Amino acid sequence: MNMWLIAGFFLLLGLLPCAFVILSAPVLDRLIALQMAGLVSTFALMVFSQGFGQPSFFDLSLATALLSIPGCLVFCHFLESWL
Amino acid sequence: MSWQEALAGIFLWAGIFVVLLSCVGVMLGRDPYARLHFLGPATILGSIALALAVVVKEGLAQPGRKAILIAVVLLVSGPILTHAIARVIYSHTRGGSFSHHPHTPEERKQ
Repeated sequence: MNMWLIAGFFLLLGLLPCAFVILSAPVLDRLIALQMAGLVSTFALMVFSQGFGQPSFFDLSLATALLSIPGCLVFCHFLESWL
Repeated sequence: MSWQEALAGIFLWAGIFVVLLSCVGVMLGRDPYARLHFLGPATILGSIALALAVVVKEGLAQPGRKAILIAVVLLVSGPILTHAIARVIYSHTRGGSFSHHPHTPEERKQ
């Protein structure tokens, strides 16, 4: 157990407010909470990879950060246009 | 604990504090615009602080370089995605759209 793992645990607690908004709020607020949850997961992967001493796990965080871009844009496209 | 670990810890906990406050702000926001504001601190301050924490701890070795790259990706994409979400909120709240394509069957009949 080191500082990074403890910090990662607290960082994962940030997913709880995002989950509350996703479960209870209108659709536009859900998109914002989803984007925030993606940020939290990216940061958590960074912190846990440093905590476990596995530099290769940083690739997961980088992939999450890169994939959140088109993911958000796809949601924006479908929310702005009529399905 | 060396000064590097202490400094990395300061950056780490500062970044986590900012991100957690931003998550609480998203939950407590009154409307989509208010909630959208809280993506900014988490993206900018959080990514910079956490990347600095890794760089201070590891230097410019592989983890440090990857952390910098992740921070750069988030710093570049954050404002773009925030603007895209704001555009969606605006089009929904104004009852219209910025696109010129017909969206509903009624619009297609016109």
